[in-house]
Amino acid sequence: METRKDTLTGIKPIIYTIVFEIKKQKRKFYFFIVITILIAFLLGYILQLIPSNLLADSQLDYFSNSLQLISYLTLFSACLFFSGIICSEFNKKTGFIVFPKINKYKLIIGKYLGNLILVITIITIYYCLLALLGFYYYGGPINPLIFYSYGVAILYIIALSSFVTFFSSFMRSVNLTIILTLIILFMGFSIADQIVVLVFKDNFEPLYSLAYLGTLITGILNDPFPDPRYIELTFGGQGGPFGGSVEFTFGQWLTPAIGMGITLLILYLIGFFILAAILFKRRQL
Amino acid sequence: MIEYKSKIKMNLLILSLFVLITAGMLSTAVSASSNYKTTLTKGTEIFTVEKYDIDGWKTTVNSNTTPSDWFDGYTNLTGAQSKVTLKGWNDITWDTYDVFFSLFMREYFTLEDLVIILNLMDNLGYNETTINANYTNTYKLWYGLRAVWNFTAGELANTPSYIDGLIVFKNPLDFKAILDDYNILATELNGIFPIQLAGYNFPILNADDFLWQLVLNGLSIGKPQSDYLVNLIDELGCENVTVSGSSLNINRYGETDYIVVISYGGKGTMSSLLVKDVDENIIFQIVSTNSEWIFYTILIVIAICGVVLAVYVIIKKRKPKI
Repeated sequence: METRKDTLTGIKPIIYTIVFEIKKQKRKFYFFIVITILIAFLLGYILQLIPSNLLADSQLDYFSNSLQLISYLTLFSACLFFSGIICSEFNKKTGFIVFPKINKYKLIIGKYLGNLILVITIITIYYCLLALLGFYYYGGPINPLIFYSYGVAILYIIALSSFVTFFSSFMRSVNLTIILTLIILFMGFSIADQIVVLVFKDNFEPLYSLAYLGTLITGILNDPFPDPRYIELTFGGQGGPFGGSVEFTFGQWLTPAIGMGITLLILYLIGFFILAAILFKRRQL
Repeated sequence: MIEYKSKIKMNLLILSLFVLITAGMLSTAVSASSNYKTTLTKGTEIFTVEKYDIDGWKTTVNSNTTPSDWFDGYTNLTGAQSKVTLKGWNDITWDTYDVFFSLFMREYFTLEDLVIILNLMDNLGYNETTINANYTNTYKLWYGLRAVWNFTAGELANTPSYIDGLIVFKNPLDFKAILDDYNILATELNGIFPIQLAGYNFPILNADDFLWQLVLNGLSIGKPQSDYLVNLIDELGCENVTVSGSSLNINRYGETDYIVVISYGGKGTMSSLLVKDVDENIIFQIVSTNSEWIFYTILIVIAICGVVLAVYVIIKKRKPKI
């Protein structure tokens, strides 16, 4: 009885922090909800009002096409929601309080979970709208692969959040964290992936890249799953008066293998959370 | 006050822009022909074999065939399902060659035979240019693309069996010109020695045969549907076909006389097919369903929940704190 009471007393501050964080991020959350509904409605419904704009062949293709924008949604939401988790404490000097009213770890966990609930809600709404529209255009039942995709999307968000939280643990300001993580996630990984594919072709899969791991969200919707996962596209020309025909070959890794992708996402999130915790502890000293 | 007014102006501007863009998009979508309008709607229809009386079919329709000879897949199993998804459509104009190739040649010849016969025709001076020069009719139509899942007794696959075209001629009177032009051209081609030598023959069709061929290939119609069907069979001069509402009643003869009733739904595509003998006994029946009503029910439930939630929040906020 006593132990149960202690546990509840231990959890209560986290729950209060979660509620407080959700209330604090209310405006940001509403903004993302509006954007999410607009994207789903525009892509899934308004565009389909144009007769010549062809509907996808199947429900899975429809989901896959409509989920192309989810990587942007997850990246932006992860960067904007999680960037301030740790660094805002030090920015506002609250992280240096010697005898805080609430355990600092509990505070960070509460803030993290609060934001995670909001971001997962945003993605869930997007998937719900998509499933509803998929049902409207293709009838029931909803293809179960969409639930796998949703699962991967949740895992991807947690991995992204751990990545942003890690940066938040040593950066000085929230804005700087947002900018840096956006640059790395949007441009850094993409550029690195292209260089790696250009140099190593199919000999090295860019499994280090969070952006590449994110392609599993739509990749898992393929039935059958792509095999081979590396493809080469060749573009040829007849050549001009100054030379013969020229051919350009571009390689592309379509998606990571399901098992490998999920394992790496889990490793990513564990690794970055551990690093973030270590840096947070060192920063307090 | 000034700030408030400028905010209202801004909101009005955004609203007007949104209305203009949406209206523009919708007006493109419903650009109509002079008489008939398309009621095609993107979405999926699920077809189910409701009844198949094997003995009835063998003694009435044909002792050597099954419904699978009419529709691809396992149509000969009661409960088998098929799915058709309309992907979209476009306004296009066909020349005689397009009609000749798409409606007739592709129907009568395999892909290998098509390559040979088109080459042969080209050498004999019957190519796209010469055919269109001699037969100058043009036809306006709505050309759609649909994904089709063949009938199966098990679960429908994730990907469609094939993608094919769906044709709605804007003017049902065009069918007469199409059939006449085809029969003249077919007679001409059948009389050419190299084509005879190669063993190819273009069947000469009467109005009933042509309509039956169109029906089996998924004939779709414009709105108003009953007028369209009446014009279609009157102009073609069908002898064994009558129209009742938005249904075609085709009298056919197999082992004995039988009747095929094809009904058209609100979208202008086939919604059901019924084969019955002269005593009105049902031999074969396909019905279609769609999930749109479930979608709208879900939407209404969500809307009601939203309103209830909004009202609750407003009431809670207004409640004075004690």
